[in-house]
Amino acid sequence: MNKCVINRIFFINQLGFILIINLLNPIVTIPSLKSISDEDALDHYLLTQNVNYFNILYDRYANKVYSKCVTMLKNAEMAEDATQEIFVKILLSLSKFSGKSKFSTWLYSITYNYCIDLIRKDKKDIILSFDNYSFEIEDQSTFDAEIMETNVYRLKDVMTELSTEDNGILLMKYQDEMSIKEIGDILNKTESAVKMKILRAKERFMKIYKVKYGESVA
Amino acid sequence: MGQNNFKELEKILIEGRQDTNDTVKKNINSNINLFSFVSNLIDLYIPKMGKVFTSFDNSKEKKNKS
Repeated sequence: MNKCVINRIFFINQLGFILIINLLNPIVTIPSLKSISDEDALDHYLLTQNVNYFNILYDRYANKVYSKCVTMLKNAEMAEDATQEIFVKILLSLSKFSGKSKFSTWLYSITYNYCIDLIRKDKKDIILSFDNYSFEIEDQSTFDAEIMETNVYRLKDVMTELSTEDNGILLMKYQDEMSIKEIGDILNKTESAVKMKILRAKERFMKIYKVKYGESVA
Repeated sequence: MGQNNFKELEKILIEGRQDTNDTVKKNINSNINLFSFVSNLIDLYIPKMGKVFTSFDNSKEKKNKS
């Protein structure tokens, strides 16, 4: 048989093999899906390229990522698009995940930075001026408890008025319960800068709450 | 510590999410399949491309000699 014909047959066989592997990939089942840790799922995905391992991570975090996006972007459609973009971004930068932090922290850091960048790009962020107001939060821990116990519908209402950056800071602090250091790593800021940002975000939260409901949170 | 309504807010927002989760998941999976297909093709055929060029070059040399 002609060498060229043999090469062609070999080429078609290989192509067919790749196609079959890619088609079968999602069908291959994984035992004990629920018990696997995020980091293990990630390692298995990188080793096997089996899409089911990535789906485990998606199922665990998609809703949380969506809820952060919708709080920060204040638009459900944009939040859906952002969720998809964030997971594709994660997929493309999986090799950059060093494992120094938890997978969830890394995922949230990408989420927060993506939303902040998106709003900055569109220049849609709310710029609030509070030059005429000064709030002195003397007891941080008491205020932390009170801000967390704010009525959930009022909380939602106030957060729609806050800027994307302030929303992000408050979500990291109260929803994800991240440490100052973790927030600093995400925002690429020093710990003292982060403390100041949190304080400012709380002040603005208080101000909006007072304007909307005529009473203070604390 | 008392109740954390930031967590409650998260739950409410998730409950209010329209049923688009599967569509997003399908889109992401098709992206994954495309990436893996392209990377498999590159893995398999880029090294072979080198061989093709070398053999092409060799055949030219042979022609020139003859």
